[in-house]
Amino acid sequence: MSVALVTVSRREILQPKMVKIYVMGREYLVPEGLTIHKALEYAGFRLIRGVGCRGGFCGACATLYRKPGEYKLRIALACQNVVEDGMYLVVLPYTPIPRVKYKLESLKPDVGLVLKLYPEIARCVACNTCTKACPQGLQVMDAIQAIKRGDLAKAADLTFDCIACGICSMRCPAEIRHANIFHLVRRIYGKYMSPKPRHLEDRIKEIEQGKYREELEKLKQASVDELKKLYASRVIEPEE
Amino acid sequence: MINVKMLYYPGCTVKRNALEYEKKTLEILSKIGIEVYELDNWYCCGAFYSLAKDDLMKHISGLRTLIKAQVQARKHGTNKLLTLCPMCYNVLKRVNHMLRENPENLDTLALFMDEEEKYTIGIEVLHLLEVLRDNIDKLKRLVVTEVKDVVVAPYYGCTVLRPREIAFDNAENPEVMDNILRALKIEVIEFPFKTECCGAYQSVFNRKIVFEKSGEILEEAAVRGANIIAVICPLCKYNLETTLLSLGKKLRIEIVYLTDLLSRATGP
Repeated sequence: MSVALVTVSRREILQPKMVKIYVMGREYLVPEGLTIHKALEYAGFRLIRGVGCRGGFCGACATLYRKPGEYKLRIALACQNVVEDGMYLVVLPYTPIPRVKYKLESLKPDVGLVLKLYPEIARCVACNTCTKACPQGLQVMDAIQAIKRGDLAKAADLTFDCIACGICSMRCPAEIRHANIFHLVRRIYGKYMSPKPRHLEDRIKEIEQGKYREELEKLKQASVDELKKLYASRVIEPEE
Repeated sequence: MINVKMLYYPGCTVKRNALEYEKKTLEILSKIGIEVYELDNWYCCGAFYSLAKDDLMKHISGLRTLIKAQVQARKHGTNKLLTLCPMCYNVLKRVNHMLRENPENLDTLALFMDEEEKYTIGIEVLHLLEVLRDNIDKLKRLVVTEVKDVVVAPYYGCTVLRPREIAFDNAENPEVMDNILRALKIEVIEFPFKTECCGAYQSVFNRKIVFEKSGEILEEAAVRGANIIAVICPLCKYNLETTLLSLGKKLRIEIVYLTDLLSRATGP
């Protein structure tokens, strides 16, 4: 097997290829290959809104952009997607999708409940714009339709990877508050529909009965060296 | 017996408020040799057929349902799509009709719905009443008991008979349900209020209208000696029943799904 050596000149490192981006209409030259967040910082922005975990999990950096010569409104997470030449972009500081107050303990898990708390789901016209707008690639409309059908388990499953960035809600002609609805559905599923984990309940009982109190006390008293030794010799369950 | 296959679109109201209607209906259909396949992961039908001619967006829900049916039709080898709820029937059948009459609308929608396969207008939307009408001889053969002490006023509601292009019977004086009941030797009265409005969705905005409209239907049925009003629509049933409750125990009348009566006649 031959290995092709890529030589990078000093010039290329010191003078990376630059791309032009437009942030809220204003032009900036930024190095190619940066994420949108890093490009913004390069351009001099101090990120205080529209930024969170920077690992693609928190959903705080919903970004809308267009590319030159295209009508399509594209979506991205600023921490995950790299800049492209000619990008017209804005990172949304916040999406107003207020949550309805409810007490999970006193809810009745059926389709009527979701409709009562978030009546706008009845307005879904099945345009599927939400699905096209999801940076996580979720079947957003299918999840809303599953709720309308009464299949909350399916909706909970379809939305497991929702990061609540809110882009679907901003694009929805029916003004549905997706992220909060999905949150509610997963809570209902977790509390009322998924099988109860017996081992967890048993373990909690054991903890409450003080089975591990003595051992914990011992650990509290142990020296750092002892703890290190215990940690190194711990038994780990084999991964499947 | 040769089995006929049909796709089945239940819709939200049947699944939430009319499970008994669905259960009895599917039992009867199975008895007359109709194999029913519920659409997987069905979408909302759209609930209302939008009358704005330039607002195609409102027809997407119905079209998506028809495309879903088209995909699953290949799997099950049938292009028939059965509905129980008259609202679902009305919306799906009208969307289907509109697309057939205006193929340019289908093109416009297909451009927007670029993630779906193109609809070829090959699905036939059916309502339960049509299916029962076409199998009336088989139904007759199934009768095991005479349904006694029952005088039925057949009540059709509005959306299976209007507008004309989707109606399967005379909109002013429909007789499909009358004929089905008579074939099963169930006593049926002449009921001129059979297509009067029950108040429909005014139950959400102004119940007084529902009580007024449904009240007239109930009283006319009672005056004519009926002790049962046979219905095919969950919303008609709801409106008639809540009106009946509001009247106290003044009227001795029961609101029953047609297929419940059929199941009484044809046994378990």
